[in-house]
Amino acid sequence: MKRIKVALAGNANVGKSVIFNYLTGLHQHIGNWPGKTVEKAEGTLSFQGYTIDVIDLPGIYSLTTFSIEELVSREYIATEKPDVIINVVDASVLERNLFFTIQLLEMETPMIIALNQVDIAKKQGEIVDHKKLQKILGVSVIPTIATRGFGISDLLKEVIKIFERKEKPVRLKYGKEVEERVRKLTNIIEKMNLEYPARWVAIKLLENDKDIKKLVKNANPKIISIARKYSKEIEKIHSHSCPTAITCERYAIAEKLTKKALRRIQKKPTLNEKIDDITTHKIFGYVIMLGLLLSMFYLIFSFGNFFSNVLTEIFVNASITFKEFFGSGTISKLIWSLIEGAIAGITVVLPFIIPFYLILGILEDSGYLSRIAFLMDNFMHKIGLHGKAFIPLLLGYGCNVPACLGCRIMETHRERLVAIFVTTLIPCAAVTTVILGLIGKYVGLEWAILLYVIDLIIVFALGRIAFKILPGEPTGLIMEMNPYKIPHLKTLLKQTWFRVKDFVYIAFPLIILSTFLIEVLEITNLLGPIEDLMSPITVYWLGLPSIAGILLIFGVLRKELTLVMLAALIGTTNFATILTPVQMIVLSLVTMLYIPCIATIAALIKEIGWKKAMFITVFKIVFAIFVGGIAFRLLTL
Amino acid sequence: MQISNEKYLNLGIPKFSMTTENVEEYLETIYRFKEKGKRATTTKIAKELKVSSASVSEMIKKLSVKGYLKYEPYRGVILTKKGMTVGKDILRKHRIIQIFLSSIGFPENKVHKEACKLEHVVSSEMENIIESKIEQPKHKKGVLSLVEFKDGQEGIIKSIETCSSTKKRLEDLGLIPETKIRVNKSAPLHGPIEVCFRDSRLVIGRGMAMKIFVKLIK
Repeated sequence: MKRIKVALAGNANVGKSVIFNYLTGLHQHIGNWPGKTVEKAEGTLSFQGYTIDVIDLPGIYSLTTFSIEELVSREYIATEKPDVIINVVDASVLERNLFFTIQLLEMETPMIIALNQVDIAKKQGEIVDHKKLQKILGVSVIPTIATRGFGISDLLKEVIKIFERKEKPVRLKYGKEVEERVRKLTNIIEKMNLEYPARWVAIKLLENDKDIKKLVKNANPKIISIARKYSKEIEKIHSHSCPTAITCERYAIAEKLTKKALRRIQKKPTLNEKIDDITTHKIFGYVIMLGLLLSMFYLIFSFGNFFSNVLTEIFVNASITFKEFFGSGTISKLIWSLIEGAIAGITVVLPFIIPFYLILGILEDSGYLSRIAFLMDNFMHKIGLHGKAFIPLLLGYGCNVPACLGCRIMETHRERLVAIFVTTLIPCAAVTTVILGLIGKYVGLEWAILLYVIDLIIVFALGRIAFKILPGEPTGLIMEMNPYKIPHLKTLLKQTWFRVKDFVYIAFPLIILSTFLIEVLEITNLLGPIEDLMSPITVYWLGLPSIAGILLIFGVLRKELTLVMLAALIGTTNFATILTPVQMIVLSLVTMLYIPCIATIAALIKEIGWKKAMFITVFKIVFAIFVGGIAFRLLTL
Repeated sequence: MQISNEKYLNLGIPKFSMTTENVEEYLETIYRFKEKGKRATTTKIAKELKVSSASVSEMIKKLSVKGYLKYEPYRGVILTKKGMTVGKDILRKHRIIQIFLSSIGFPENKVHKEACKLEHVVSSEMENIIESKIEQPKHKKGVLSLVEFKDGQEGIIKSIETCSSTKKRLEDLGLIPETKIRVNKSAPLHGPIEVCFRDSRLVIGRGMAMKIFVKLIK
């Protein structure tokens, strides 16, 4: 059987992943690109006697080095050499999509175009003549409506046709002055036998692409100076910098193509536009946003709590049965701790993560996330982030785990890191339990609120510091505003399923292992010595009873365990018998700020790698102890 | 944040005098704040002009009597239409002179200070001549930064002056010179701006939009 390697490429939000899901069904694997936090989706299908491997490249607008996604995509196309590229083009934003098409053509890989969302384009009064487009571009153009599965099999048939013919796409010509120089440069580079197509390298050199420049410089530094000479000449003719001139050339081609293939018809303002106006309105926009976010919050946590309780009950019974059966010897305890770890994962994490992924997916796919970013951008700038970061931050109040994972919506590495760091400082629902259960109940609600205010100040201050000290250029908000869309259910469900699976693989081993370790400590009576070991910090610096050491250790598993363990250790839930109000405040403060819980650490590792995750963890421990000690001294003045 | 790199140097402005020069200098500074979408408070103005807060308060009172501006608690200084015109014109003049000075080889570190002095004495005739000689399109008449556009206004992109990677990104999205662009709406409270061009809609953060220069077409 013949194997065909197909890559899906295109702008973000053009329905690429919907097409990918139609093609591969459940035979897909979602992971990361090696060493990168960019999602990599691969899948396989059989069609007319061929085995087709499909890879879904990230949604990008260009093949420069602006983002990790762009780098990953162009490296893949250049070095892995897919047999056929399916370029998914959004018919409703034809010109900009064709700009990317032109760049793909420059990579000189066999290619076909899926002209997607032709239905949306029609609604917007734009009709694209795909046959005309095909004729001028010299590339097969298949009209598709991915959400309805329309055109998918035609797409596959065309892939096979192109694969068998092995035909490379035609070269598009630039304007005379640029074309002339590109050609001359290409002729020189062709002799170098690089991995990349010579013409593409020539263009990239004129675009002043730093990676390609480095590559060529190593092979033949002379070429760089020739390229520089040509760029200067082009600059003179165009009166813009050479990279700008090249971009203009590409857009000139895209404009010409669009003019020929696109027909505009009259249209009335649609319902979609009206909804858009209302949801970005300077007053109603915020009211609607607040309403929607609160109900989403409520939905996730009431659903989560409900299932969490149901599952816990089931497992409590299981625990009793287990102990009746195996007794409560050491081995039995250890085995049970392993099971309990898994249970904790299932009961605590999953009931919140699944609805979160679903709802975030809906917000993202429908286009509402962009509206929130639009409304909140100014506010988020104050902590050095831009509008998109608002969602994960808000979700952090529920659970830090999905919040960290949600930071993926930030484009650059730097932004993602700041967002994740800030997110871990937000007190989650479990911390709220501690704050309300200790301070709200025994010290007073105003102190509980004060704690939240202090946290907000810390978020604000540390966010700004992180923003200032992290290397790299801060990027402002650049975001596409797509018309509202009804999310494609199947794609949404599959995406959620694969993401949850992915998370379970990373988080569960950690949760299980740490539960087991703490059980070991308990059985071997090491908790007492550890308590003593920690007493310089807990007793002297923080002014807490020595029991706090254990509480804080257990809190790593789940933050509300600090309270649960306290009750278990002192044998009553009347905490006023053992803690003074000042101690309660200090304990809550430290619980709020110190180490993220084990599930959050797992999420951190998944998103930003071991090193940075450990750095954040250690930083938070030190910071919490520092703040706690200061608070203790201030309060006992 | 400091007001760009054109940070004010000590110009030895007499403390409360209402000379044209002094009035212009104040209005220019306040206009810069407006351009950035930031509140102009007494303290910030004082810091920019390197004078004491007390002198600034005094001057603001006088300028408000003359109808150049209003002072509103919590919102800071707000320019009236009259004040806005003066501030905008003088800032434009300042920038044109700056470019002119650089082009004739005036030492870069002294350009700003010199422009601060010259901007108050150069006639509009002279200004027009200099303008026609310099190349940067952003300071030409009718060319505004995107943030100055009102909702629904259209224009033609003249130049983008952000850092090169952001510029590249914006260009890749289709914001290249001579592209027709329309401002759809801007988010409240100096938020980002939604623009429409080449059949696509894009939201651009305010800081970035400030550096996109567009010729207004009616």
